[in-house]
Amino acid sequence: MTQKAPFAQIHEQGYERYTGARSEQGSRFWIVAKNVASIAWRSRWAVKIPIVLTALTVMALAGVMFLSKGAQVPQPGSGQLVPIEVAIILGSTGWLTLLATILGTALGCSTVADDLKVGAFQFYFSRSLRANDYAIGKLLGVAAVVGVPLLVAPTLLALVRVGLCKDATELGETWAILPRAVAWGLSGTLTFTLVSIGLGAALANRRAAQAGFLVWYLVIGSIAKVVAQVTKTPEAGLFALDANWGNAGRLIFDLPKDNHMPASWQSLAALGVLAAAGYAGLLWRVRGAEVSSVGGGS
Amino acid sequence: MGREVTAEDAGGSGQPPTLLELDGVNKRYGSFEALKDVTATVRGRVIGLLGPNGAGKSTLLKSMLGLLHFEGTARVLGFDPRVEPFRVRDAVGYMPESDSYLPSMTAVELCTYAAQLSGLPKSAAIQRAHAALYFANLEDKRYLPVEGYSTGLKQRVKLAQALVHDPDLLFLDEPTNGLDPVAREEMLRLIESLPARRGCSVILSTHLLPDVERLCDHVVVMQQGRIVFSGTIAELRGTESLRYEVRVKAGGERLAARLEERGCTVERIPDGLVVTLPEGAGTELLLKEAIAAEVQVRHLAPRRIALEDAFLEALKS
Repeated sequence: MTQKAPFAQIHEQGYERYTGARSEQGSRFWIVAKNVASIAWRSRWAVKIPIVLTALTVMALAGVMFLSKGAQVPQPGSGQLVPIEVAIILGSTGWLTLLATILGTALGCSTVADDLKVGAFQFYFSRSLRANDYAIGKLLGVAAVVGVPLLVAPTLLALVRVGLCKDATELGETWAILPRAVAWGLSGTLTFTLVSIGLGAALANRRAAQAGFLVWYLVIGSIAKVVAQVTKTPEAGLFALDANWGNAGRLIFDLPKDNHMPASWQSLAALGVLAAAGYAGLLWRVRGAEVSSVGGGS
Repeated sequence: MGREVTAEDAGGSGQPPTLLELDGVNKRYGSFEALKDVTATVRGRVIGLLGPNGAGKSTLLKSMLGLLHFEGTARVLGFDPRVEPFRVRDAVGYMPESDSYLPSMTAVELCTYAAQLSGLPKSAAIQRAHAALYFANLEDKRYLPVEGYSTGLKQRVKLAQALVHDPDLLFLDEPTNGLDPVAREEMLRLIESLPARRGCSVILSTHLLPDVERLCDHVVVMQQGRIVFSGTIAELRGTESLRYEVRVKAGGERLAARLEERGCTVERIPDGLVVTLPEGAGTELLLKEAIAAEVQVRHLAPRRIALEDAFLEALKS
């Protein structure tokens, strides 16, 4: 019997044509998300440094929590005495949001804008990937990174506090800090992720989006807080991302609002509106690019 | 066990597969008709998709990938792109004309990622990424970031990522654009070997008619949203098989007159005649008339129409 011609084999390395099962359509956003997070960690110092700083911050604050367990401190803006662990978690807002802003600037603002620049949309949408799965995958990937300071850090601190409980009674009084920290962290993570991604997608330019996000956080946000304080118009504070997140935290941790900020529910609503606007910017860009990116040229 | 591709499957003597079945496909952008009643059945192993800018090639491509809504009926490899767009995209690979890579990824990572996005499990995706890069002659560059590649290497990565999920059909959009002669030759060789080595058919959208002539067994010519020709290159050339160039020692006019009497069309060229024989006639008619006219034939060869001329003729018609 004669040997088959070499071209009868599809792959020279002996692989056969793939005829096995393909992954569920609805699960492919995980592939996008994992790719975003792994590439971010591997290739960007602006991602690594804030994450390392977050880890150091959590360790330092956990140490403080251990040493001053049971203490009560006055809450800035309201003067009310609150447990030290709540004061530590809410008091870290400024630092954690700064780290999240760096992460959002480095990764969130660039993830979709870079895809637009290098023609990656035709890479994605000529495959069996839905626009929504792309968008959700990008969001989850960036959220996994931005969430390190905003969600993981408060959650770990809450876990430390719960872990320090001596007995069931103390645990019963303290456990609620954990779901509250998670809820607060999720609200911040979603907002910072969606705003940074949405800005990058809408502007379709990484540098413009990064500049815009930083200017918003560092300049507009700071001015808004000063205006709110000096002119006694708390609504001005709604323009400051970090102040809104901190004020929303007071609602979640059942504390009185900051005197210089509007009602906490307004801050929470402002975060929701910003997140929705970011998601709308992302979907608008992705839906348009799904159709327009493939083809053309010839 | 995967489907084994036989020599017949791989472009040998078997019936070529049906790639596209289009019936009354229309697409409008507002008042502009991008596709007008496109009806065709496209079969073959390597198909050239030709047409000037704005002819509707990209719109057809997007419609067939299920990215655009259109009127009429269409099937790509038997799948309806409006009902099963993702099955179409699993069965089709697309190599875009413009740059299409992801920053900070090596060629292996890019191809693995592409295969996973097409639904392959990670282990199969990694295997096929290496196989596709090996096919594209990138085995020694596969661990380098793609953004550092030359144009020729980037084109080959684009080909590899289009192949990595084992598609049955490849859409190649201007695959030799911007390549130097050596890289172009290599790309053409790769495309030429696709049906045999990978068992897939190819639809090649290009402006470069020499590429089409070399690679394609069928061509589809589009103009202003319509398919103005669909068939083999020989059919595009039309009467090629009936046209002959004849040079004689003397008495060319005498021979021309006799041939015209016999229903041939004779065109006088500086050093001879171009004779179009009537349907069903062969070169024996020509030789018989040359003997009868006592004319010595010194050269007799089929007259090839340049593909460019045939293409322009198809557009005019």
